[in-house]
Amino acid sequence: MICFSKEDIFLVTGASSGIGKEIALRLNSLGASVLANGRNEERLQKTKSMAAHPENFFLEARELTENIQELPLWVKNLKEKYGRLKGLISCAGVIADQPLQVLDESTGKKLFDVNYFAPVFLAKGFADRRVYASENASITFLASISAFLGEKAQTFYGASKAALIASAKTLSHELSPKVRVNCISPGPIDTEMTNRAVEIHGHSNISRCTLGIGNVKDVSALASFLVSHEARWITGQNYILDGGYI
Amino acid sequence: MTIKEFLVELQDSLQREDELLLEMALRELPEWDSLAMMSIVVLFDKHFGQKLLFSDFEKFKTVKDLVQKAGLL
Repeated sequence: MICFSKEDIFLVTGASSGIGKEIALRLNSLGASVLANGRNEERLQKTKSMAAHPENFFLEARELTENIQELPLWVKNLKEKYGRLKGLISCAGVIADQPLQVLDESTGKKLFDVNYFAPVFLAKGFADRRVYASENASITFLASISAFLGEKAQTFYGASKAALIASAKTLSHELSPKVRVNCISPGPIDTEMTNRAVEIHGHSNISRCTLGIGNVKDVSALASFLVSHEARWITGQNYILDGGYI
Repeated sequence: MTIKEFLVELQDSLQREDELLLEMALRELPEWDSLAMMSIVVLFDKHFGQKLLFSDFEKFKTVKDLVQKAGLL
């Protein structure tokens, strides 16, 4: 049974919706303290209202792409405010469906800022010796099966997630044995973000999930395992969690 | 850059809690490893336009040696 104490502090980005929200809530329900990050304080408040232990659920609204270079300092300041961090779970991400003929440079750069550069610079802040907890510290990045699928219109999205997976591998080597670094690559999960994409493209691809479309709880279950002591020997891995999609 | 500013930069590159002192032996610092050396190579390139080699580090015994290499002493 996985459980945490309130001294186990996790920074979860993208915590106002979808997978990030569910991971933040599950870790909190398992006893951990959660620093929930999202762009919008109001939406974070909504997440907090669902928390099992709201007294250990703290809101840290910030637009992560506003000043990426300063993100390490922000993480360091969180440590000053709350104490050493046990884990970083980076869930904030955006999708852009763009076939080659309408591919737009500025969209691509913005997408890489959110999906790649911000997570890496958050990791830089977290992996500072003065920030992470001495026992079983870990970083978990939310990637995507789009990194390998080569689906149409995912030129930038797939690349941003593939980049993240590649960097996670490097970081796992650089930071071993102090900090474990892993990725989760979900397939289609029932979230607002996926549903919007499904609306645009129809349901045809979802039928490839032999176990049906995934639920955010399927992802939070794996995430809470990966950040727990049970996973102390796991680093540098990317877990495909796709209900049989690939 | 002053010596003090350099020491702060160096401390940050090594992700060290405590201040660095000139007489400290580099190899006795708990933060000292190959990534620390690579970080110092980057620091020298960025701030002083100097391209250090790993073999240069054989000559650096103390923090003071790095300060001298940076031309601050």
